[in-house]
Amino acid sequence: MLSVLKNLIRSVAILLLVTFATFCLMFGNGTGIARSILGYQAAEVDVQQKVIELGLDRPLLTQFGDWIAHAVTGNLGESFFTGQTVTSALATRVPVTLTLIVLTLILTVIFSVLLGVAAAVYGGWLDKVLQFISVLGAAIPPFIIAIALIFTFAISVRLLPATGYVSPDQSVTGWIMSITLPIAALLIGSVASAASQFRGAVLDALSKDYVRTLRARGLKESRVIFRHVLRNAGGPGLTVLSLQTLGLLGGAIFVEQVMALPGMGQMANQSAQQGDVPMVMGTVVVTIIIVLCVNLLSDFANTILNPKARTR
Amino acid sequence: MLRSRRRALVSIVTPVAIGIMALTGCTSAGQSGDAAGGTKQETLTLGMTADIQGWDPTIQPGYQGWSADAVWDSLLRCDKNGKPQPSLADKWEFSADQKTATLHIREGAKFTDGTPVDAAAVKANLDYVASAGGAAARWANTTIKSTDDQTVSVSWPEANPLLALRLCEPKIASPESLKSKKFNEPVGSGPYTLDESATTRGSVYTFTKNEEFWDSENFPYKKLVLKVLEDETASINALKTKQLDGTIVSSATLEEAKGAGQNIQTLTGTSTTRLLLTDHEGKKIPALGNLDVRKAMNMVFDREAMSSKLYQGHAKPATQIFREGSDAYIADMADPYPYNVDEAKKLMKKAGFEDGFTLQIPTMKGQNHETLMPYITQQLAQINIKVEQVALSGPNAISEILSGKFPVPLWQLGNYGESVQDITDYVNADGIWNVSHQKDEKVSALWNKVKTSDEAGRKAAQQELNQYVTDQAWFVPMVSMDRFYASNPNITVEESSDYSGLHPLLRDFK
Amino acid sequence: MSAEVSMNESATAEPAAGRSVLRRLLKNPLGMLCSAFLLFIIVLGVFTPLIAPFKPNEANLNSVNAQPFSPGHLFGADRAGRDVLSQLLWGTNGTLLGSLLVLVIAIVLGVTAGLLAGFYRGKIEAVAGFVTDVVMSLPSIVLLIALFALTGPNVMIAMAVFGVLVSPTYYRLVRSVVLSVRSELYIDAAKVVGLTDARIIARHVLWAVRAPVVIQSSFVAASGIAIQAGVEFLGLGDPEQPSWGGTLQDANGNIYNNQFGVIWPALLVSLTILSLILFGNVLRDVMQASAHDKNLKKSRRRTLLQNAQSERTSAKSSNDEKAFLSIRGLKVGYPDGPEDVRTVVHGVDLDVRRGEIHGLVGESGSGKSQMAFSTLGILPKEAVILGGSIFLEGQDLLADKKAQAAARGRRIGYIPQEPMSNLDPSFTIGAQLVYGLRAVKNISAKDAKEELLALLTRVGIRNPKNVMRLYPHEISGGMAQRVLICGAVAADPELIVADEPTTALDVTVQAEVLELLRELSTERGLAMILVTHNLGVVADLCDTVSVMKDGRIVERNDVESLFNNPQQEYTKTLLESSRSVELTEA
Repeated sequence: MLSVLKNLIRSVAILLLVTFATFCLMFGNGTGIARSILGYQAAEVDVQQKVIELGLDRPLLTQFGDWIAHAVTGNLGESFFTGQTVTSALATRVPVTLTLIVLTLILTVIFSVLLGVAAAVYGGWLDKVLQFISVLGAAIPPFIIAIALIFTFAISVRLLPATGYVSPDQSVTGWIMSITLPIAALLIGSVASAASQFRGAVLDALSKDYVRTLRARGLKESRVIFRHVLRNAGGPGLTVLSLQTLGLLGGAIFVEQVMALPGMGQMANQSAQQGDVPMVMGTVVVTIIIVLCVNLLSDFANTILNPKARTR
Repeated sequence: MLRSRRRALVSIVTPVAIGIMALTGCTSAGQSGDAAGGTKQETLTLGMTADIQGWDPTIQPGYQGWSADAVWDSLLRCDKNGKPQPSLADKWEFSADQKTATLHIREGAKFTDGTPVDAAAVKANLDYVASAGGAAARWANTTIKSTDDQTVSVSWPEANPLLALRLCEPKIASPESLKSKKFNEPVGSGPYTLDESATTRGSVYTFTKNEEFWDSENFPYKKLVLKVLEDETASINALKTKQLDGTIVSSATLEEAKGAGQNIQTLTGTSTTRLLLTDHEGKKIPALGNLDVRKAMNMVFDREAMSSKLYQGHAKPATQIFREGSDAYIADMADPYPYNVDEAKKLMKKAGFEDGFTLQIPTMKGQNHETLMPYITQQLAQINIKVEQVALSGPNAISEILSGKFPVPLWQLGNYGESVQDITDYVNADGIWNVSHQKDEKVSALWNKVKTSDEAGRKAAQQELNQYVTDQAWFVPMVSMDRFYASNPNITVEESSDYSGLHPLLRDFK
Repeated sequence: MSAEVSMNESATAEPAAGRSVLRRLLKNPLGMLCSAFLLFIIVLGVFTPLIAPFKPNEANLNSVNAQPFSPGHLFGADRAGRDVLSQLLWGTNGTLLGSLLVLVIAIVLGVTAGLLAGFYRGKIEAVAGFVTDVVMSLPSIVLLIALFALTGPNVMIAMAVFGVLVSPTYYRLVRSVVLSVRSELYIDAAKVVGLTDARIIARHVLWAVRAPVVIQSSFVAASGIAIQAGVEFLGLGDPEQPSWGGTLQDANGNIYNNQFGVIWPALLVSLTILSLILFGNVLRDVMQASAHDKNLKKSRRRTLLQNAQSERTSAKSSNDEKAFLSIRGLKVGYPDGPEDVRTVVHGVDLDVRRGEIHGLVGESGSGKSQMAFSTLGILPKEAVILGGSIFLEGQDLLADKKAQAAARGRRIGYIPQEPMSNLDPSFTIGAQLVYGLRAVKNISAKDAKEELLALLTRVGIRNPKNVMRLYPHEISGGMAQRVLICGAVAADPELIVADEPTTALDVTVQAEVLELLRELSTERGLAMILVTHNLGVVADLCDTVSVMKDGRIVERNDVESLFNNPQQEYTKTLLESSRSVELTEA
């Protein structure tokens, strides 16, 4: 448990550091920000006044301190343009992105475990096929996969809606249909690399001495694999998963853009193009929090799976 | 053994738990239900190709202004021909000298927060429009009075032939929402109210019917959903899969929409694509002060090819900025600047600008710049004019373009049935789209004539203005294009009552 | 992104000589293909001004939405009338430049930091480690989008920033190489009086590091291209500059008028990334010693096994009737290429009677462990049993896989050499033992637990109830070995195969374990094959002993006779050297 606590503190430190760095970058140019709010025909005097009004002339550390103080109470600022609070904007968009990522992760676990174990245990053509697919899936960027899927299933074959999001409280079937293609787009790349890495972890576990001893004990091969090998490959497997989350967050941005899903990624893209700094800042912070949470959770799960990791 | 099995379960349950937490926290906006059999659907879902830029009632665009039409009402409503119809004002009077409008606000009109729509409220709105709003220039130096509880009068310093249009424009919001200047949530007296809980900015806006609205019969849908889909492919997909009931389509996706069984409403020739060479005095770009340069710029574009190729035949070459059939339009005008690149080069040489100059042209998403700019850049390069594209986005984009920072915008601007509107907007020195706002004596003189003459005189004066700006090559008109609106057969869309002929208005959806 | 993840799989390795690498690379068909394709792309980029049929952004109105393979437009044209092939060509240089930028920045930052951290360690390493962790936990595309809000459309700046974000992979690589090199050099340096020359270390390290860095660079370039295309696709690039991602974005928006427009940029981006990744894989195989070429072809293996099987069924059983276990003519081999097999056990015979403790001695590599594993049927996957039979009370286990599986764990037990690595670290002792017992015996968990508790006490573990709750890493080596013995004996087998059961234990514990084995054998009438290189153990415990050398049994006798009267030269040598070791130890 101590290690989890240490990890937590470390994560918070990382969060603060990165947030501060981003903050400096985003809010560094106070005059530029004021000008982009007031518009280009604004007089110099008005711009300067706006700078003071927004408190952009204070030292960055002070501004950051203020921002943090507000952030911990849930106030991440307001959009420069529409006046909408960042928190409320995120509240509607984060669940969409999270749904996408969590469901993809769950499916990734299922598929990559099945494929990785099969490839490691049976080898032969199955292994070769997996290696081929994993290279392919890792090579093709998610937005290209997304376009290909739209092309096939929404334009040519017309089975599923190509774009748009239906929330589950509106219609469950509609929701499932609207997230199928996006998840598929993310899943292909995710399984491709996760399965290959999981295969490596399984091969690694299979080569251990105790596996041989267990066989010698008379255990059936299936039991050896599903009880012992999987359990021991789980630790490295978790590491793979937390790496995948990072990739998925990036991929989700593209998929949201291509398939018009109202998630965090789309918001980040729109806000960045408009120069709406508080929104961008909010998205970056939430993204980092998600990544850190996933890392913490996988560390925690690792201590459960791996008894050696518990005693510190 | 049991313990270890449980532990294995934990590692699976953890991600599932996160998933469930995420799902229960879901609050996203709704979508239109399909019409079941013959019964009418209760929700109208429309697509928008650009996001709403906040809830300041004075910066609402006329193009895709359904959200503004939903929450706010206006004093008068101008029909398709520009003639005023009752709205918040049920009786009105225009003075004979075209300077003053007096309006009587109908009894019992209320904002959705319960406060009455009275003369004081209207005055507060008009004061705001005249001073700080986006169209303030059109209201410069007006006198606004509330003569009694229900009556307001507005006086312009000079005769204004477009009194009706001016009074159709302002949206009337509750004075409270104006005071705070935050414009977070709109409060009006319109046919719908905004449902914040089902709204995601930049993505979906949901409105519920305001039963108190005086004309609520004309707005049969209980719920209105506006979905932002900037990508045209995405919006046509959504239309085909019935996630939208209607959306604007361009000539690019027209055939696709037709093929998918959508109803198409065509608004013919209601916009003219043009370059506006507003710096004809050459203040910012000296070359533009030379008439030959401006003429040369007119001669490098193959308008026929543009119509047939870039607009898939849904456009006609245009040599005037005015709508065909309007008063200012000169029928059978010979092409003053036929397509001739060599001639253009000669003109540039004659003007002494053989080496050309650099020209910044602002671009924005959803305005077809992606299709037009490569050709325009290329053709201008033929006479050594180097085009630099400046991509603008966000809420300040429009104001930046109108600020005069870029003296030569390229836009698919509306042309009006009432050509006086075109003159006011594009030709007069204080015109919104005459972004450099340079005065011209001839124009002022002719404008005076327009204001003071009778009908025949007005028409003659307008045509003279048209000839003048054409001779002076103040614009590079290219094509007059058709606009299209595609809708699902399960809803009825009446002919657009939009005065600017851009698309059906909210009230046209039945 | 997925390409980034594959980068993390790169491992350090032995550097190979430069010229032979190139040769091996070109001999590999995949390597040839990828190199050719990548070279092709580079050539296209460099020579674009000469090759491209149209100028950048040249708009031809008559070509608007031209279909692929229409005259003049191999890939068709977009909605503004621009030739797709030309646009992609003009965008190639931008892509190449972007990747180059990423590589240069990532390498300069990462390698330098890795060198410094590995060499100076201490605070520098701690700080660098922390920074690296931070950077690696950031999703790059989110940061690049945020950057856009600051810098506007500038793909090169974005690529430079991406280079920074990617540099930790090089840092980790270089640092680990430095650490390993450092430890070697320290040993050398101890011999030389004077300061270690930092330059020598740097040169040595840079030489050692170049292979993994080159391999890594292939993957980094791949992810650079992916991110660049992505950034351009999102619209964060310069619209006036032709680019791969920009062309894709345009085609995607125009998909209804020109369905095939998306194919060309998509293919180009995907194929380039794919080539880089495959190229990296080939480099990895070529530059690092790989066991791949040692794999036996499946058909060859099948043939060999079939031959062995047919021999078995036709051979007459010449086993010793009195023996419990009879090994006849056992031949075991390992692959030495796709067609060849290297024999490690050359037709060995062995008999073990009931209750007999049979020692199997020899030096490492003599094949004794292979004999032990063959009996149990737990040889590694690569091994091939080329011939022979193993008769367990008359039944040939090698002829009947099912019989062997039935015998394993139930009639034949196994005690391994290294106690700690032979227990599953994720389960408690109790869980492993109970589960293992119940897999071969049909009893309830409660009964199993009781039996095992009793047995644990018998093998000398005090407080077995407590031990059952512990994890393998919480007990000592000696206890672990006792647990393993318990596990082997619990199913009540008739034969135990013990592979150097005491070698990994402390001397004092060794004696106890040996005593335990003897007692168990006597109590339960257990036969034992005791594999060892320690003649002292043989003398102590065994009844009979076989001496193995180079995969053959050179002498067999009962213990007393062998020790007193060795027949073979080799046996004599073994005995002599073992005695001299004892003398020196004593």
